[in-house]
Amino acid sequence: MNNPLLLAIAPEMFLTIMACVILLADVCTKGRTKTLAYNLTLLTLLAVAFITIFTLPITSTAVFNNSFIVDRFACNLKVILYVLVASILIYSRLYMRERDFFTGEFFALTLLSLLGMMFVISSSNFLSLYLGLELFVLPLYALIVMVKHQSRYIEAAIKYFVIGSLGSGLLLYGISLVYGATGAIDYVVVASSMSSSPLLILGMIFVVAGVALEFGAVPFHMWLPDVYEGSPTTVTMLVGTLPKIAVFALSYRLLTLAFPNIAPQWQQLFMILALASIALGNVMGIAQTNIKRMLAYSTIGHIGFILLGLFAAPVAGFTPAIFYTIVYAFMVLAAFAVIMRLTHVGFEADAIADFKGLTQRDPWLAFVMLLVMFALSGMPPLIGFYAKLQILQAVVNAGYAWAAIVAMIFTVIGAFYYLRIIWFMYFTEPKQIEPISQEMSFLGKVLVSGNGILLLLVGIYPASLLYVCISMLK
Amino acid sequence: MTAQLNILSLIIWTPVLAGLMFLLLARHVTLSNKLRYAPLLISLLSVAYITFAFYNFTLNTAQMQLQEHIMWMPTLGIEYALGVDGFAILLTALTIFMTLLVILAAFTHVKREQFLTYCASFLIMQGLMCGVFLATDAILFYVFFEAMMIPMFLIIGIWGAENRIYATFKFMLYTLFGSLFFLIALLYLHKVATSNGLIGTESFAIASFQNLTLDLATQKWLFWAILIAFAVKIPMWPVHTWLPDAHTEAPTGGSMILAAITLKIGGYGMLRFLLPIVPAGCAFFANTIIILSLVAIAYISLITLVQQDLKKLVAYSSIAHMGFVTLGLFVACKVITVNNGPQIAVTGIDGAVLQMLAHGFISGAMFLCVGILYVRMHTRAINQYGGVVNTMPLYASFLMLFALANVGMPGTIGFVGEFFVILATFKAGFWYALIASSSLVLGVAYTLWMYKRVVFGEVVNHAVTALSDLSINEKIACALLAAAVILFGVWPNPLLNVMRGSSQQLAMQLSK
Repeated sequence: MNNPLLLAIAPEMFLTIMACVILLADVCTKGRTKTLAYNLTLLTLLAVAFITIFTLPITSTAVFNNSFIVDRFACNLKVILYVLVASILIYSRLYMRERDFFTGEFFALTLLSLLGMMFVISSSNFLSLYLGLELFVLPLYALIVMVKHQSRYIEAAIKYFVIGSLGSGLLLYGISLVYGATGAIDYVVVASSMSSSPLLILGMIFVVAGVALEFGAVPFHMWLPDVYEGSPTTVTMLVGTLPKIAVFALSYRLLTLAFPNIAPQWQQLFMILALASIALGNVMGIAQTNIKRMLAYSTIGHIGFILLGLFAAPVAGFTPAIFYTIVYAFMVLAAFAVIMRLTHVGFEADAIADFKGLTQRDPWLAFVMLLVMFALSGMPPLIGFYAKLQILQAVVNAGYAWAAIVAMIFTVIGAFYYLRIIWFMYFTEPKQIEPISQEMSFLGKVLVSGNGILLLLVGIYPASLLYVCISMLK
Repeated sequence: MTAQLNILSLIIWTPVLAGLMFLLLARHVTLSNKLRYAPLLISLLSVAYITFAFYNFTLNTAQMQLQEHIMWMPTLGIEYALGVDGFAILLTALTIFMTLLVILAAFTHVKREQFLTYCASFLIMQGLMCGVFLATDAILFYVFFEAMMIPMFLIIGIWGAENRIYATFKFMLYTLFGSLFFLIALLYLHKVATSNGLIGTESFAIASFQNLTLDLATQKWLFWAILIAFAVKIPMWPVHTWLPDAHTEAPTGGSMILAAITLKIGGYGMLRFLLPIVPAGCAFFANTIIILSLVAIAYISLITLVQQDLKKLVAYSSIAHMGFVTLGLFVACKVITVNNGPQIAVTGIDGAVLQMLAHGFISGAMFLCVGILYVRMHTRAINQYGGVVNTMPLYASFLMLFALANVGMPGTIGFVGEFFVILATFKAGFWYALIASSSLVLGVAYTLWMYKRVVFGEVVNHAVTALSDLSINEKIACALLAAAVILFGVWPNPLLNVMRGSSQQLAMQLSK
């Protein structure tokens, strides 16, 4: 195992093998011991985390003709992905079982999607980028329809598939134009061509459009609310958290390695995408009655802030954007976990009205949701505020105080719909008074509380997460 | 002793942590009954802390005292930094005093099973509001400034009257909207500070913002960005419309804290940020703000006259009284250039701060008195009352005292602040002072007319005949307030001595 090539992709290789093993194990046991695949998946995630951390080289290393980078940035983001996947599986164990998709295929597909994201995070070459991207989205389409004979899931999957394919097409077209302009698919070579020809810029625009589509930024956001609403909550959690981190990493690599010379051009694009997303996400969320759709629009608003961070990155560095992405993933995870806690068979708890009087039924769960909502709306002392603060500071330092003001105005407008959840939970009488059903394992319940409390604790001492983010960029 | 007592941190975090603990324990019925006196104990502990802080406070200096510095987000230049000066310590003391009264009143005003949660929310509020007054780092200030909205939002929403949801959303969104420009202004000041070579934790310290030299064009837009946050909070006409709703719908304790403390945060923000950071901007717009203040004083007083709802009446009179605070502060900005200017400016600033403290005591007392009636009769409509003096003589005498203080009767604290402000206003312009003085007449009219309709006259409502006079906890609360109103009314010197160093420093900053 002293081969540096093998060492560099050891986590990916291990994950591939384990995905196959889990699939086989499920087939061999014919699904008799249903928890086998589940436990095996969690163990795999634990093991791959160790492998990722212990095979991390001291300095950033690029292997396979410079197409795959292993560095601190990739390592930390990958570990965060493992944590997210493991939490999602723990949250939804009973949810999946009750809805009959607690199967080996589900876990294997999840791991394969994760594998694709890991490739995306590490890729520094358009070819490995595209392969990774396809590998991570294709299993997600299939995951949505794992619950059989549900027309709304099929609808969501087809929408996601069609739009996702369009995104891949845009990206591929952009890549071909970039190749035409520079004759290279390697990021570093693209940058070293020092070209700023119209062809390269056109290519960059298509690449950015593809990225924006995967992010769900306005005007490429249409799929997001439909997919969020039309997927089983487990898959909504997966779609809502993991791809954002992967696509963020992708943008980071692209912007720093491939397109640093045409920064002014892509900055303009990001500014427009960012402000449009913040505006639309925060305004449209007000009109929603379905909490998953509401959180989808909230996602669009938050994506806008991440893009704003990317816009300011050439001046202020990437730390604010990384910080925001990580914080966002954990806030959304907690929000969906609370929704999942309320579900039982035949009841998805996805109407905002289902939260009425929650504090009388389960005060602690209501308190956790209160923390999550204030965090999402960016109120101090919860962590969401510090994420926004850093982005705004970066934008002001870049000399765009007006953009910061626009972003903040829409944030205040958006605060209304987060506060409305709190209104329903605390200021109204419940529709039914029976206590919450127990459709979540004990571990899951502990994790929900932990996740919510963490949003407060990291908010009281944000430097802890800040150090992690800064160390990633060294 | 090398191991210092971090008294300011204790003032902030003891009530917050105790409050969170009470919230957790409130579900256990037997335990929460046993803990009935625990919130009062925590409140008294806070009184002990602030007494200790006063004991260690040095007079005649504008230096921040009892400072604490802890690295918080060093890479961003943000620090957990606390300190007190003359303004901060008085307002902190006011906060602690009012929360004590809220908890005292809650013993009979709140249902037994909700008592602990209610008191816990107010203790958390108390800690966070003290944080606002004590923070010397701009971002830390902002964090407390926003964080205190969370408990207030819940207090109004959970324990408020019928229209509470409308009121609490209006309050929340108004304030959030106000503070967004303030945050951007802070980030901009930070940018200027770093480009001036300030590094590390100095780059977000309020003191270093105050020492920046900014050109007039920058000061002008910064002035509005900062003003909006505090104008909404204080509130100034025409952004006052959240206040009557929030104060009316809030529970008694909520109205007391809103009127007595959160409005003061607006005034304090002006003292700490607006005047010292953008003095030229303040001087440039002084006339505009003075006119807005006069509108608040005269026009809102007229509106107060026609109110049919007791709480609305007190709420509107609050806006009129806070008009004196902005008037005093901006008269100071205006007169600073004239002969003998700094002296008059100090009078204006002293008057504004005294008026803030006076209004804290008086509006707290008025809302407490309204609450005492409301908890017995469950109505706030003035025409439902009449002849209350027959059944509640003690209450009627306390209300008389507070009503006279509200109209600025000499010998009460209400007189001192208004007198100082009007004195300074005469130097800024005779007509300004004349309009400002109109409040003395209108104030008498609306307050005493209300008093007449509620306390004297025929008993029109049978419920009034069944009223019981003050209970023991209400007696203590009213007596404490009455003592403060009279003591500082005849002898305001202690207050002036504490704030002297700070007001002189502020006048100096204005003249630079």
